[in-house]
Amino acid sequence: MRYIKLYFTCIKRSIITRLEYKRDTFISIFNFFVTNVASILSIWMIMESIPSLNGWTMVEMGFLYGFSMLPVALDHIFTDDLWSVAFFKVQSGEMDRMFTKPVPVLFLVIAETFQLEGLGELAVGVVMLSVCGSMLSVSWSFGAVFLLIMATLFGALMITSFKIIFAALAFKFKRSGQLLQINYNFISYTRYPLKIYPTIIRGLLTFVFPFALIISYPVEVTLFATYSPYVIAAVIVAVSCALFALSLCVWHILERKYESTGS
Amino acid sequence: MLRRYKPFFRAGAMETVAYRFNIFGWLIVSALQILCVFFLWIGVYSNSEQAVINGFTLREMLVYAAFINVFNFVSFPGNTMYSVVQDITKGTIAMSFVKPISYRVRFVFSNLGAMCMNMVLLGLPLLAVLYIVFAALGYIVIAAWWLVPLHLVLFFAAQLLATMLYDCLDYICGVLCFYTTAGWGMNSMKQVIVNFLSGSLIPLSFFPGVFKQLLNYSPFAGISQNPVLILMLKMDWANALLSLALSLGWLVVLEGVGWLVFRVASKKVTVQGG
Repeated sequence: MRYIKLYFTCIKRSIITRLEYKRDTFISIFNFFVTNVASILSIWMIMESIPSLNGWTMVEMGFLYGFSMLPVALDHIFTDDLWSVAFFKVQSGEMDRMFTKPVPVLFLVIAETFQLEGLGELAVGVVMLSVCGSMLSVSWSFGAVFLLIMATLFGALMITSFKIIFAALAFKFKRSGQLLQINYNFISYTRYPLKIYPTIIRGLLTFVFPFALIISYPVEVTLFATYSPYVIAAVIVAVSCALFALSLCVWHILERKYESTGS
Repeated sequence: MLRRYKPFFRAGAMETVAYRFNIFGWLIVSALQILCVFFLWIGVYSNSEQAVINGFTLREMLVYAAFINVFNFVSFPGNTMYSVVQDITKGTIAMSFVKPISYRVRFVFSNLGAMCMNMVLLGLPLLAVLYIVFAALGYIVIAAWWLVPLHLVLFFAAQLLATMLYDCLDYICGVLCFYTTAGWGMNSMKQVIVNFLSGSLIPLSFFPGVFKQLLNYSPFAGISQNPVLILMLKMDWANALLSLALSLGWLVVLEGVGWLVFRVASKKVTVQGG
């Protein structure tokens, strides 16, 4: 209870700080909008030249792209400060401050920012999903909706877990930003249909960095009814929770290795 | 006259050496990105009824995707825009008004230095290996041997112009956004737009009719697409010369715009100490 109250105090402060510079915040949100529009236009221009990509039409690709943004955006909104830990906060010694408070360090890191930029991503994702969804006449069964919601929420948890693990490595190596970047590379693989990849990559995306599980499979189930939505949802929840538990362990072990860099 | 800028050229080069670890990080991250693009193009071409899409065969497209990623990393090392924004917000820009060197030319030389060092450390070895592999596989068709040295010379000229063009755009953006501190957002947005319009995501021939024509005559084509097309022998030397002339023309125009914008902006700058 105390933590919930504390969390809201922290993010309120974060939002107030950001709104102090309204134009800057707007530019940052707009930046994510532009980035995604450029990617979507590229996919559109590629798809213009072929009838379909392994059975996926442009609209279906748009649906996949739109959905892939939702868990990423959610994670972005709530845990963006893990990036700064991995990139410079450990290296510059800024983390010292966090270790002096009577609350867990990870909690403070998460509560540090409420990233308004993520809202821009979320908006583009929702618009893409609803526009493409209505063009496709998807049969919105209860199972499909349930699966998409679960995949969004627990998908965000899975992405966060990977971020925690890689950011925690900064405690040992001082800087681990590039590892986080690799993680995001694998997420961007799932923006295209899984079928275009060879078996090795598909396996990698299903079992090692299981981002296909939270993005590709739910969309396939919704569009083509390939698997039972409840089975996929159960797998997503189980895997995400397991990864989250693992990430907490890794964080707690590596946290103790923290040495101030001074300055 | 230009001799006094030599230290900046050297500083740019030395800085690249000091941060050479960045290069290895970039290699891993980019290899994954390029791999993803490869699979996408293989998928696209296997679904197409024609072997040539918008003037590119699959082999040419793979060469293009690999080269353009290396080219972009090597050729645009600077963060001129960020430095300009920093100088304005911190007030250090005041120093540039009293120093007997041009604020603008300084950036050009430091970026050219960094670009040359990038070429030595990464660009030349990587491009050479890729070139030999692609040529051996028949992905790059060399009609006559003398085309290679000719195009190499043209490519280096195009690269020089590309670095200067990009740096100029960077500078203009930096001066234009001096009343925002959202340096990261502006920088990333500028990068995305330039990448998109310069053919780094997909070749400009994929753009619909009018846009394709417009972009081919814009400064963006000379920033990424044309140098790479010259290197992979997909653009003949006559067109390459035309592209170089176009880039040179745009460079003059954009430097003029940059000079004008800086003059207007520097009258408005209020330096808060520093």
